[in-house]
Amino acid sequence: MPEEHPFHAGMTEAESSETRPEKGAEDEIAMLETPLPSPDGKDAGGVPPEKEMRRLRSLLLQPEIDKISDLEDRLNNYATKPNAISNVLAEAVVMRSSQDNMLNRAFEPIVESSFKTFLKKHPNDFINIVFPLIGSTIRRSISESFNSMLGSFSKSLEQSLSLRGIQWRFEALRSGKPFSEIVMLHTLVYRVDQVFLIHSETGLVLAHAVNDGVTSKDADMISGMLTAVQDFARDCFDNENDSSSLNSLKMDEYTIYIVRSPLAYLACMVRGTPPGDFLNGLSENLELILAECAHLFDDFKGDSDPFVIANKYLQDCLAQKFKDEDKSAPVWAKRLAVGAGALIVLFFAAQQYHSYRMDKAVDLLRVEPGLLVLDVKNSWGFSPWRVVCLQDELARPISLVLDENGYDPDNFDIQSFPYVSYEPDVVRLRVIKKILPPEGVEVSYRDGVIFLSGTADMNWILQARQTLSATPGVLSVDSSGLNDPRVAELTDLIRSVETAVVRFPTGGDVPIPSDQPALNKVIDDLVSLERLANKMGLAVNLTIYGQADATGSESRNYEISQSRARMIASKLFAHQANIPTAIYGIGADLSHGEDAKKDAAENQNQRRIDLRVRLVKIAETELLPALERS
Amino acid sequence: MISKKICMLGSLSVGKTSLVEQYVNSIFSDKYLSTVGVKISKKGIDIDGTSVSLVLWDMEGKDEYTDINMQYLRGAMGFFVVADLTRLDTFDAALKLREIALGMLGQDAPNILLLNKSDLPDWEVENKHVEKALASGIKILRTSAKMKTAVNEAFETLARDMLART
Repeated sequence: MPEEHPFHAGMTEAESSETRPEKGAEDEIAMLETPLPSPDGKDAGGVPPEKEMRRLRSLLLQPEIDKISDLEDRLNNYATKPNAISNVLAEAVVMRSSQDNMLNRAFEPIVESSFKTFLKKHPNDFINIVFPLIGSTIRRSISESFNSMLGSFSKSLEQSLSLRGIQWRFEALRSGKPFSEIVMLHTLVYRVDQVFLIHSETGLVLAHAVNDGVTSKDADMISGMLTAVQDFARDCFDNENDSSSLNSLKMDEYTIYIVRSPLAYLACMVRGTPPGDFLNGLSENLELILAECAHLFDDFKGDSDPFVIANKYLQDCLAQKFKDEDKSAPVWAKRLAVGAGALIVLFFAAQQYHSYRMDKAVDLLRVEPGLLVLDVKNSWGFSPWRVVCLQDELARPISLVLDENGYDPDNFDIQSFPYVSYEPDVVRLRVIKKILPPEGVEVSYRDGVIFLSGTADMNWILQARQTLSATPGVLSVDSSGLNDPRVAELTDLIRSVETAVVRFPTGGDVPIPSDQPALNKVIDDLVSLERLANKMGLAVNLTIYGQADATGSESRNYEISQSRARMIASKLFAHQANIPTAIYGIGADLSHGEDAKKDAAENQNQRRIDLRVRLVKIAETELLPALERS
Repeated sequence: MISKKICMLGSLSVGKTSLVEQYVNSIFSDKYLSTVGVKISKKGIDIDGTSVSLVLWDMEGKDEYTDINMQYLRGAMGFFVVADLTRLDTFDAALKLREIALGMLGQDAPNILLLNKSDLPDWEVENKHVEKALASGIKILRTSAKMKTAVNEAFETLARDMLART
């Protein structure tokens, strides 16, 4: 047994007295510690009294002292003994986790820092662990996103096409609210739109969270008003007790729920009716916030930045729930409704297409020459359209026009009345029908004038001019472009006859020998002229002027000039030319004066005949304008 | 973001709401609308590089028949007491209100006494009154909500005082 036990050595008197197991032993020890009286300061055996006391104590109390020492040792070293902790650790973790989540929050920073350290030290190990997972994770994420999108699309389609969707659309139109808001109002059980963490004393916002798609007003002003309203309510009821206050406010479709604590309160703007345990959840979140942020309230001077750590709890408050859609109509009814809707849509689409085509067909009739559409009555469904119009006799048949353009004439009930169209195309047709232009004649029409061009028989030209003068739509006829090729031949013959020079000897009525061929040619030309003129329906009238020179007597000159003219006429007659001929003997030509008598050559030229030709219509006496021009 | 709650105190019709409207919205209207309860406004400003959001509690005016709701004053980090330069009684009432507010918020709470309607003639609050108040350590500014005289200065000075206290 050691002389000085560590327990004893480290203990004061007071400490040792605390460890004494029982009252009787205490008294005993106190009595023993009292030194025995000795005249020289030593006991009877000569042993120092402290040593004796120690030995006595050991003898009497050693078992108890050992037990106490063991217990003390256990108490002092309990935390450092892994064996002892390992025996109870699992049970302790389970028990505490079932009570609250303090263990999680206690471990959170440790795990977080450990994980960060691990990542920094062994990034490759982390990559090796994550790599097999990440591919499937991405695929799963994409698949879920796609499914979500399909679901959302399906839901939108259903809401848009269903009867209920149409009702909601009408309601949105009537109320002026967006359709999405109307849908949400009807499908939402409840939703927490906004959560405010508000400083109780100042009414300033410490933290604020907003649900997706919610437009938030100024949080500071809302929180200020909420605080003021609460102050006002408290003041109105003259309630000095801070613990009783406004718990909820109702405003339109919103209810503002307030959960209070002395330091801060949570205000939730909720749409709809939240579940019964909603306020409990708010209270729990507020408690967690206060547990984490309590130290921040001590020196709060208006700076809300440190309270950002409360946001995660506010996000937890942003709950929402939609109505169960199972109460909707059965699938067959939906399909039937969709089918009926599709049929209706198809019918209206077909009807619209039919109307569109009918309109196009009527437009065609409106631009068709010789047709004047007066009235169109479209009908419901697919029954024929009634068209009332005026129709020129030369216009194309309406059924032909429709058929050519791919429209069924049976779709129209046409009622037409005759009229005379002055449309250019119709007038031209009318002209062509009347004059029946031969090949080589072009007919055109512009501004009321018919233009004829090309080559044609003169008779046809005259007849056409006469016909067109009484044709509706024709104000005048321009036939200057028309040409009869025989007219030129006729003109040449006339010119040849009228310019022929046939001279006579003095006092004779037989042409001088040198002009005999000219005389023969004149005779031939006149015969040809007569034949050609007759073919053209014309008759030739010939006038022969016999002339003499100035020598001799006037009576003789007149006589000889007549004789010369007559000689030509007899020649013509001999050639069986049936030409009415007028014969004139005009005597001497004195147009050159008396001096001419002395010029033999001039006298020779004056002894001649002059021929003049006139053409007249056989039936009528109208002169041909072309011949007149020539 | 640092937010500061500021209360506007003063008698009836001294121009508290007009000062706030002029400062926050740059609007002044001669039409008098008595404030009932409290109206909250907000204005963000920059004081020496620090962004501060001033939450202004425009409280209803107090007269001898109405009692101010001191609940609204709770938590204020600074306050204005407003008096009408043309009505001496509002100056006296402002001094009393200031004492009440200081008693509630602490003697070191930043505050400024605004002598409003400086654009009007016939001031009843004379220099001797002002000098006496100044001598007792009260910060005083003559303002005109109508002419926007010293309005911004008043709010910025108080904001600066509040930040200095922080």
